[in-house]
Amino acid sequence: MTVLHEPVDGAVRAFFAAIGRTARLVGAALAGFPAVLTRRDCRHTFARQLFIVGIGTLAVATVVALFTGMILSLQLGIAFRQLSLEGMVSTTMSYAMLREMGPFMTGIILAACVGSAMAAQLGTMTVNDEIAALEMMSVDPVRFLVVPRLWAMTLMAPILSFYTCILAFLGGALVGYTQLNIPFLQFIQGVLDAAEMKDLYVGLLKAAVFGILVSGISCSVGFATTQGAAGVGASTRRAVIYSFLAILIGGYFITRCFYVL
Amino acid sequence: MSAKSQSRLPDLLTGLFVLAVVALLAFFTIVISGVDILRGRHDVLREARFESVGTLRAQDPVTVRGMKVGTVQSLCLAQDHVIVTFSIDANVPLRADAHAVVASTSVLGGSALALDQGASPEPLPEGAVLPGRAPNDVMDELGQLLSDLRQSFDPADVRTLIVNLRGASANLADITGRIRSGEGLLGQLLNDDAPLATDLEATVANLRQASASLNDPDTTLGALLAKDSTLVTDLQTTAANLRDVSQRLTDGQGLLGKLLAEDDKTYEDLQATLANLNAATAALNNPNAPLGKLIGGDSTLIADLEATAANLRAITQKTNDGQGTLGKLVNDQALADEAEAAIKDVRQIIDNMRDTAPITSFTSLFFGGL
Repeated sequence: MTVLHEPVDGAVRAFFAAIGRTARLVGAALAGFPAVLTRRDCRHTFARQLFIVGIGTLAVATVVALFTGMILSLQLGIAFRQLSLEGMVSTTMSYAMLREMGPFMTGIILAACVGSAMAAQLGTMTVNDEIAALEMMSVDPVRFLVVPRLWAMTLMAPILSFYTCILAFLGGALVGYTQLNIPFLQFIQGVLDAAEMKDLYVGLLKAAVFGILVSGISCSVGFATTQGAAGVGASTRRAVIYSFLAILIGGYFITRCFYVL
Repeated sequence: MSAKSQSRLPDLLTGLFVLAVVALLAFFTIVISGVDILRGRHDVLREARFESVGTLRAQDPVTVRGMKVGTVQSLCLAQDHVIVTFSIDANVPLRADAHAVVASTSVLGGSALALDQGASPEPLPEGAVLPGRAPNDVMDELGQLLSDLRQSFDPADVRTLIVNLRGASANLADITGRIRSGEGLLGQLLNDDAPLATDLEATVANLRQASASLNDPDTTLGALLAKDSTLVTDLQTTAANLRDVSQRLTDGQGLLGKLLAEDDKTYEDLQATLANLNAATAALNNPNAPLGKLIGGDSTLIADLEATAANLRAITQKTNDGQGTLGKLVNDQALADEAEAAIKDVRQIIDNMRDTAPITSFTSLFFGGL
């Protein structure tokens, strides 16, 4: 399948070829959504991927979100206290978490926890010629392996993003109550007052896009794995790095699309 | 737990997690869309018309008396004005004369739509557009102020001002240095060991004690300051009486009033009376005058007076006892009646003689002439 294997010489050409291969893979996976609903094997894989993406990262997401919120609240509190504007901590946290930090943290967690595993798994299957075996059995590897993973991460990423935002608000409110003398409910009310529908749903959209990017890059890098076990390790590392870069660059352009100075 | 149940456990956990977060997301969405489920708040849309909205933007807060009650939804530029559409809590009442103002939320920027609810008894009709007042552009006013200052001050004046300010700064440094070293009145006041500070503390203590006494209703001044004090009532009564007296004096009533009146008659009479009294007292003091002799202790006159008094006492005693003619006349009613009858007879005789005297005289003359 040309989507999976496309030998290219030269770093620049390889880079652009990887981008193009990933884009085609993502397009094919997005188009294969009906298979998730109609094919039993896809549904099973999809459900398993939902569990891996959602429940498997829940503990990490909880700790990261809680402490990120606490750190953010503490630092903002220290800064705003000099201006006697402690009440702005909740407002600033609402903007920061819903617009950027929530989706960004979710993307990072998914890339580190799930994307790396995807790249390693698909890379191992590739070097072991399992992908080739699937193709020989007329099983489309994209539909069988990529579609459930991509759609599971795409659908679960916004949910995880909102979950991290809520936990970050709770962590921030906890620090606000204990360190900044801001009543807990007042902090939450400040978050709700500052929250805007656009921020919330653009953030969720951003998280979904990050899910597509992380799963697409991880699957693409996994399929492009060569040179045995060492290649699997390198692919895992590359998948994480490329995912981080894609999250940062994609995040800017999404923000640029929805927020104009 | 069966194998089938175990295989469904991940799906169950995933489903529960997804449903919980989606429910939370729905709640969050409803809350930030303006419907407060917990307090039953429901927002309604209103419009305000402005000539200029300044830095007001969509999603800025809408406040009433400083409390956030809604959000600016949109701003629409019309031909010569701006229509601001905002959501507001339906439970916040707006009157027919309500109006909107674009207010700055901080010096650093940011605006809010501040609503004045109005005082009219009529409520704001549904769909009515609130009149909006143009915001005060702080930066514009600041720029205008700087421009005015620049025009008002000549550069030479500014240099002079700077020189003066430097001089003033040096003086201030000198003053603060002297104060810090305990010199002068202020320095002594700020120095804990200075006797002036000690005296001042003692004075303050005395003042505190005096104020405590004023607050004590048992003291005189405290009783005066007490609301239900009888002393106050008495003073008020006395003041009323004094007011009445002074009114009478002003009206010229009474002796003092007449004395104070512009008419000098009473004064002149009093002066004459006093002159007479002075003359009388001078006469009394004259040792040659009878009363002067009495006051001066003249022994002869007093002895004579005492003797006369003794004689009068003896005469009156005899009279009371019915001795002598006068006593009998006084004490004997029959004699008194006879004496009265005799007096009447004598008066009759005299009257008769008075009546006959002309005839007798004429007859005597006539017969004498013959």
